[in-house]
Amino acid sequence: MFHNTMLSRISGLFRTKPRDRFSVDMVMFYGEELAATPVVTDKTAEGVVEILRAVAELVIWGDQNDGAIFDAFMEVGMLDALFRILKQNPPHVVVVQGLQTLSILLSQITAQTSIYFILSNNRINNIITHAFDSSNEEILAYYVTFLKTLALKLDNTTIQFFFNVEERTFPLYTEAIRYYNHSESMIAAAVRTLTLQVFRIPNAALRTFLVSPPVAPYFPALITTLATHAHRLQAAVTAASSDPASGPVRVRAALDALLDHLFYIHDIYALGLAGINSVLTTSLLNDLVRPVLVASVTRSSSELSSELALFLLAQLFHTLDDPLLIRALTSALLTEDVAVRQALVAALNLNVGTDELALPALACLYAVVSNDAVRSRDLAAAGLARARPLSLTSLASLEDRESTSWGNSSQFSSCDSEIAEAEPSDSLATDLSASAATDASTVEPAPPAEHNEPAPLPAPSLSLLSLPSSSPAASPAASATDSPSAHDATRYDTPSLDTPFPDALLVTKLLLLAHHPTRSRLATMHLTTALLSLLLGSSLPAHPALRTLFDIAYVLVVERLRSAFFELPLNLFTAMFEDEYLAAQRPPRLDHALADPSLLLPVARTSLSGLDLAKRLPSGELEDVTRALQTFFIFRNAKATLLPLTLASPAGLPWIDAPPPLAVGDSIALQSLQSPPMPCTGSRDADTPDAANVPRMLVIAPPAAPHLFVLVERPAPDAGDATVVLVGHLAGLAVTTDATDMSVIHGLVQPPSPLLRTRKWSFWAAFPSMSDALTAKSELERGRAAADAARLTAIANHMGVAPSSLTHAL
Amino acid sequence: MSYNYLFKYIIIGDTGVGKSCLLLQFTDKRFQPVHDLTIGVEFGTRTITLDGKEVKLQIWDTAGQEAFRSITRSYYRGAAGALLVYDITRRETFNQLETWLEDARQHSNANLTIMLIGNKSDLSHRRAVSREEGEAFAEKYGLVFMETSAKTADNVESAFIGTAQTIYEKIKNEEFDPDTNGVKVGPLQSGGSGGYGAGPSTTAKKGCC
Repeated sequence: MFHNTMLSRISGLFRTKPRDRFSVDMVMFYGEELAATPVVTDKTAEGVVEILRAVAELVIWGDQNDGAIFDAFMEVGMLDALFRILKQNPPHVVVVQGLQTLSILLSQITAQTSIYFILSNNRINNIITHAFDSSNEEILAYYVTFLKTLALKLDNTTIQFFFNVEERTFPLYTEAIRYYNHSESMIAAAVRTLTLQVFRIPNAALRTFLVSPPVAPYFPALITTLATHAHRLQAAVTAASSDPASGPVRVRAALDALLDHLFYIHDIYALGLAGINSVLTTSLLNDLVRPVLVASVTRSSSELSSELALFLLAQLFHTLDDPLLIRALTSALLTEDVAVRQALVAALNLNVGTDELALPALACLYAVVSNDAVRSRDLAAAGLARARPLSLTSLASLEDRESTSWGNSSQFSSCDSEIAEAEPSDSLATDLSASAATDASTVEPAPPAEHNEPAPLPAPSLSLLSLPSSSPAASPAASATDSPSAHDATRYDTPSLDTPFPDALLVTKLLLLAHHPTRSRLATMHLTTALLSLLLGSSLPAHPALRTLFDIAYVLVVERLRSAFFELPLNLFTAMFEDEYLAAQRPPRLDHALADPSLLLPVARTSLSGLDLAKRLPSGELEDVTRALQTFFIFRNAKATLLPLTLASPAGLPWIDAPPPLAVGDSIALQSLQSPPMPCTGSRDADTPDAANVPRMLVIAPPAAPHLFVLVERPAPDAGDATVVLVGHLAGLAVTTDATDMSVIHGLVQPPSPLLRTRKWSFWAAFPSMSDALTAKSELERGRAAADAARLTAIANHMGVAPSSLTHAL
Repeated sequence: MSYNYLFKYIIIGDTGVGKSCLLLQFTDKRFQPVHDLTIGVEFGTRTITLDGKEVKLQIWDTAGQEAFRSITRSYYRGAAGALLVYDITRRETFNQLETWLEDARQHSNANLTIMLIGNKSDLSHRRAVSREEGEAFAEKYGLVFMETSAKTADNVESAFIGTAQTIYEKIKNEEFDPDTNGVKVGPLQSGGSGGYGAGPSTTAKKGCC
């Protein structure tokens, strides 16, 4: 080859390339070639690259096959030649090949002693600290890969080659962390992997080194970077309002970058190194949480919007779980500054806060309460007691809650019994809730005296109902104007202890959400019920007043669904109901929902936003119905947790929940049938025509499966059982008589629900006579009517209303 | 080195399935497969031509991410393509595929193009996973499928280039913003030589910069 001849010419004409590609001779040959090339120029670069590449191959082959190769490799000074070349800043192809060769050797040589040889004499540190051209995308990628390869080799033995305890130097680490936040995400990921590998090594001196100067500032820098990400996200959110096209994409990218970084911090915490974690916690609290996040929530800083600050606090609580950190975070959020709680309460008030604010506030509270590292007693101190088993009974827990500072106003009106007696009828429920909602905006603030000094402890039931936003009977005459004014919007802006318990607040919130279905997103409702379930568990019955409010909200939701029912054709409604029923069996994961960037943007009103209905407002009649359905299922799921004993039937929708009770191949007992099976021939239209002459029988609504029809094989005259050859749903079945042969009928079978992903299919059946066919047709239609009615009854039962209330308007 | 686009790939799958060998085999043809030599790398690049465009493929092995959620997340999020590799002679590596896909789904952007690779097809006498099973799995999850051998370089080329082709089509159809999701627009492209439409097979579309 040209370059080899050229190299030979430069270094003398004596060497000839050995024949055997993998041999000691070949190592010696390459070694001499390199030695003869003291300076790599553009001219010799190609030849040197080929040698470096071939050496990698050769040494790895030797490691797997012949130990003498590595000895020769060291003996001939190949490694020093490689290092010498790299340090010359040779042409870029040589640097890349040199780094690749080193990476290959270090990652794939299996003989431990060989590795030690390569690492020894500080050679490796000299290469690590060499100033490669990091502005070159490719060189940097190879360099960082090389560093990562080294880090993956680190353990308590090999660390001595890299970390000099006396001189307190650790170039592998100090050089790498310069790129931890590199704009090239793959570079950053490789470097973060490297740092985590380093942190994992159980070496006391190393761990002291990591949190001492000069490298200790790395950890506060991570927090500063997190703050920078927060500001970038704020900028993206702000810019998005004027750029609906690419704004949301940028917000998502900014959030993703922030979360990547937050997860990295989480992974460091998760290693459980007290020294590092304590540095991180101090910085997180003092550099980000208090001055930026909490200050923005209470609006004593305007660095971030309250919405974003709450959203980010939710991310912190959702992502991090180090007990000491979480304790400090909980305290900063819930107990250090009463203004935070007031801001949270204000955010949840429909009349003051917008849905844009309510959602992150709920997300934040949810993330706090659902974080296992948050101690129950810290929560209780803030009035956020988690649900306990009902056996602890309400009084004990009520006493607990009274002493909290969420609210101790005695402002209360004894509406309890009045509401409790209210029939959940359409009009009454609406009146009640309308007045409840209206009162939220018209009720007067408590007298000033009550703000200034704690009121005497009220009776438990009284304090529980101290809802500034809903006290229906306080103004029974208040007319239902149904348009809460904002005249009292300033109420919560002034510091006040007049803040209700979160449980009560949440139930009120639910009532308001149920009453104003167009003002907030389903996600808000979902989070409210999820949080309420965390706080109350199944103990709602122990709080009669709250329970009454919840019941009213539930009735409102059912009523809205019932009126939606009449807006659509029956078939469409039942199909939609079944869809949503199925979807509600697997509710969306809240942890995904919590980190959704769309929640940072103004509430979208159309499907053009590409958002899920849960994350925007509905547009159009069909979406209104969908929303009413989803609302109903959210409430029903909540009720199943909060009031598990009150749900009438857990039966659900039998044709959806269970596989068909009959399948092809089953046998049924003919004697048990109420109406006699009808002899015929028939099959699916899609089947082969062979079935035309096979004797069969049509059975409609057999006792085991009242919503199905089947064709069975006609059994021998004395046999009692028959084998099923075709099964179809009666509901939605359409039957016609054949246009030319009146003894033949055709049927079109609908899937019971579109979500079951079965297709429409058709069948035919031929009867001995025209009148038999007519009888079959009318029997099938009767079966269909019965099945449709049963379906409606099941839906009505599921909604908890009388079946007749769904049909009277038809 | 100039290019129109840079596509970032990750290569994932259980240890020992031959990821780093595949990577080396594709990025560096100078390493000829030798039967008694197993050699691989954790990073590599190669420039290919697609539709008249210079496309640089940058491939990252994700080694070391296993224990860390943040690293997994960053790698997936930063990639436009992923080669999910299993070893046709070890069924357990095939059984793990669902876990890998679950990870990918959880962490990646929606545009990640995933190709399923059954590696070590040269060892068919020790085959433990049939080709049909691989195909069925790929079809079930909507992945492109291929069996390869880093030892004989069989299909290695097609695996990487096929994935690039898919990504390139997505960019051409404007299915995603080429400056996110593991794709970088290079100097040749943003230099104004004509945007997406410059290739012979397409008519003028809007430029990308």
